[in-house]
Amino acid sequence: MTIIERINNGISRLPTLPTVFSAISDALADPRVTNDEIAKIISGDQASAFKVLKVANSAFYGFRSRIDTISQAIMILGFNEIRNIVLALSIINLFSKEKKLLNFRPVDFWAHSIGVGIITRAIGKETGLTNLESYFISGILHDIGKLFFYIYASNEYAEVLRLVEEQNLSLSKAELQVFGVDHCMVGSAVAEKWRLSPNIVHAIKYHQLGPITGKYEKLVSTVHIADVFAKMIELGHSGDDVIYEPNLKAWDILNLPDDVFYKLSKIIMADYEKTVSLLLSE
Amino acid sequence: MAKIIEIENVQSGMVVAKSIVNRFGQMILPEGTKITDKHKRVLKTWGVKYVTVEGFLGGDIVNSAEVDPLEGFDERIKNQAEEYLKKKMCWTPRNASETGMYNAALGQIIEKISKKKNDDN
Repeated sequence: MTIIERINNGISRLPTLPTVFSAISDALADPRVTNDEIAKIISGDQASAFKVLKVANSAFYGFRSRIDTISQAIMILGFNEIRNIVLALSIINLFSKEKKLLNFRPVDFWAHSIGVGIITRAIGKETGLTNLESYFISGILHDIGKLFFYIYASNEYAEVLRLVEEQNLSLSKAELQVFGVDHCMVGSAVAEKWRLSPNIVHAIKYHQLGPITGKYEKLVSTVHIADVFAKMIELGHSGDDVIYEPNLKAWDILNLPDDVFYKLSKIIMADYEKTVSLLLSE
Repeated sequence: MAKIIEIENVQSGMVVAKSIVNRFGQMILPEGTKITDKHKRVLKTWGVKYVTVEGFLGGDIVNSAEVDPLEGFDERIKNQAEEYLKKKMCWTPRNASETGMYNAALGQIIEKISKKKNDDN
């Protein structure tokens, strides 16, 4: 089987997302669905319910009063954000975090991803957007293609990581040399297979190139800049040590104040530490 | 009398007593400048943590006694952090946003290195 055939085969054999996630997604497709019905679905899976409440109560969302029930969480954070929390938890727990491949450690990979999720949301907030629903999850999933390679083509991925190490290449360049596709393309295929919403798929595909398609420009630009900043301040480890140059168009689209990173750094660091221990604990 | 104070405590109207230069030696604010809010923003963007100001309006300048002017100012750690960051970046900042991002990242790395040094001691 050629590498491409194996990648396609891997995508078709991807584990399905847990039933609780698809059940929520199906339920939300009905415009008349009630808060209680969704709460019932989540509460049916005790482990998920417990973690959702922990996340909803975390400093990350910054609510003063305690959120005690799933219905309360839905009321405060909204259906879609709750679904995104369940999605993030499901995907992080879908694959083992134990093994490592040369320099690639799943725990560090997820720490980087969570870091990008946090920065994406923090920057999104700064741009004055009120609807930040897909921001955190897009950041968390932006590099999912790397995890796919690592799981479904680990021998070749070891070769990729060796190239990165020896020639100081970016992961994308090394992936293109070995596979002919990079983690951005494969990641978006994975997200499509999981039927995630098109803005998330798009953000995964273009997180490295930045806003070049004219679609979902704000989200794409935010994930793009957040990825660069997370690499600069070393939140986790994404597999390579190359910090790529931001696409200048992203700055035009976001129009951020010059001191925004200075202002956000402390909050980002604090949220990062807490969220990593929350999402990566068993 | 001139006093060294933290950038957070600088108020508009204070007068710069000692010219402020960035790490490339370029002048950011010359001696004698009356500081405005905009100046403060620019100084923060450049990662300036302390400013020497003239005593103004005859009033006391807050917190001046508690400030250690050497804190966050260790040139060796600063250089080490900068070298480390530049090695990984294949680009240099091209606009104010990127400069701001670069300086904020540098601040984080300086903190990390200082913390590690403290832990090692």
